[in-house]
Amino acid sequence: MSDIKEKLKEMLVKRLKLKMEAKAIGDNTALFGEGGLGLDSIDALELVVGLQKEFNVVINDKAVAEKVLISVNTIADFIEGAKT
Amino acid sequence: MKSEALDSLPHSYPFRFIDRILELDSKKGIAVKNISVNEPFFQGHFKEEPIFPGVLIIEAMAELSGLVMNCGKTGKTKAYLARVKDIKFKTVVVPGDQLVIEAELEQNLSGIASFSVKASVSNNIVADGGLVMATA
Repeated sequence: MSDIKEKLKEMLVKRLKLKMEAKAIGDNTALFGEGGLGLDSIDALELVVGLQKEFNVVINDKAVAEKVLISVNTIADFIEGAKT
Repeated sequence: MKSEALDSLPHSYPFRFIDRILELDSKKGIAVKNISVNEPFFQGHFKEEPIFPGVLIIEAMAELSGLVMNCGKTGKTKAYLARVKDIKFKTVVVPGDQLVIEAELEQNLSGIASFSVKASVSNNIVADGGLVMATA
């Protein structure tokens, strides 16, 4: 599980060109909004594409995206859940 | 059907960079732009060496991506260019060339969609990369 989180953080930094190190992202850091990483809807799309390409999980609708794309923890849970 | 789809573009002369649609569905589009020496921008880009501007190749890609997003819907295409991702220009496009533009939907998340795009002349890729289009 922690492997997935590390990999996720690295993907966030690389794909979204974040100006920070992967390890500086907390497991519960909010992805969107102030006080978090401050991502926007275009970043969300890039993230969904990245999750599909690198983790083989598909997010097709907004309702799922809103539940999953909250923090590294919620995405990791979703990836774990998709395996079973 | 394809010409009707072209009519759904809000773009018109002198700012439409798709002449004809070859293929169009809700996942992918292929279109053609014939590069004519009469186009006004060639007067300055460049006087001694006319080159079809790279930004206008991106524009053609964006117009086609908008058409793919609007495919199957009624009314005018309404999609805004939201992001240009790593577009690489491999060679110049000049008057007399026929530019073939392709746009393939990668992912659509509630009206924001990413596309893989490319443009070619005589089957040689002249530009490729990615675009993001937003409908709101």
